[in-house]
Amino acid sequence: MKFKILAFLLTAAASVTLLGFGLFREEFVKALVNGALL
Amino acid sequence: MAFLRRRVYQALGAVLPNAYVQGFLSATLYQGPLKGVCTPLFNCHACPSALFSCPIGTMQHFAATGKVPFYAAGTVAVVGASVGRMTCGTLCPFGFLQDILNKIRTWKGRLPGWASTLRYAALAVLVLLVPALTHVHWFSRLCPMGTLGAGLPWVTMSGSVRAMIGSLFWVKIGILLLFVTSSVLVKRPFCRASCPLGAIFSLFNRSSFLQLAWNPDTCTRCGKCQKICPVDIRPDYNPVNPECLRCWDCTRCPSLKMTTVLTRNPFGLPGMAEGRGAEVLPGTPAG
Repeated sequence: MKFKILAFLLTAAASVTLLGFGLFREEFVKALVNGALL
Repeated sequence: MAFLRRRVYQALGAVLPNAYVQGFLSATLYQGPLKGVCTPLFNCHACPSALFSCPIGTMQHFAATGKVPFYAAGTVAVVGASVGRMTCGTLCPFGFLQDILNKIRTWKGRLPGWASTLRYAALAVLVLLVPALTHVHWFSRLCPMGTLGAGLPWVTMSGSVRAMIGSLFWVKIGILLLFVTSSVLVKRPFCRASCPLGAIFSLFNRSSFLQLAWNPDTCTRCGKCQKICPVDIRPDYNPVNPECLRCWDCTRCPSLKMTTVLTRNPFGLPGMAEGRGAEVLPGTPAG
């Protein structure tokens, strides 16, 4: 049980860090441009 | 009732991300700020009515331009860490289509177990490796959802796009037809054997916040959970199976229940200090 909570916390922290770094680099602008072009 | 509710969610998952109806009327793509948001769904952003970006298309674009896709991967990872593969089971439009097609009454087969490894290969090779080496969006070129959501509408609407039809278009049509026809015969062939987004989400089933709990004390091993499962697995053998779409259809059985990683005793059993959410019986085959 403790292992599962620890695994979730580590996964969540890594995921949020990844997303945060992507937002910091303003990658959503590139996603917008790529998605808005045919 | 829960099953019907899932159909409603799936219909919303198909309609809401494609709410830019004007795109079909004016033969244009939505280019507003929402396109910068990656949906945790397999929904083509080149569809005329698409409001959001496809995370796989975005990852592939970054790979093709020699960059690491932190934002798209982070979006998928945050959703995966929260609910595991639940968006595959409850919201994905292409999964919805496959579920509906599989309702057609005919002979039904089963996908071999090794086929599920192919989706990891699709992610590694077609989404990341080959685009990085060739600078060409190879997964999008072959994607059946792209053919259905973007290729066919654009060919129908635009004469200039129609004029560009080459042999690749017919290959795409062939791939779409392959998955459409095989969906009638086996449950969710694309999700299980080819979907790179499902490949990423399935890595999170074991450690996500939402979990499937199984009660071995009340389970009679009747196998009804496998019959209603949209991917043909036995959740009582392995509640954290990476194949599990977290559709929660099997929770119609009182021995299976939606729970969270923080719930210590999901079934409220007296004298049981530990939850048994991830319990796997020794010697039982996986999924």
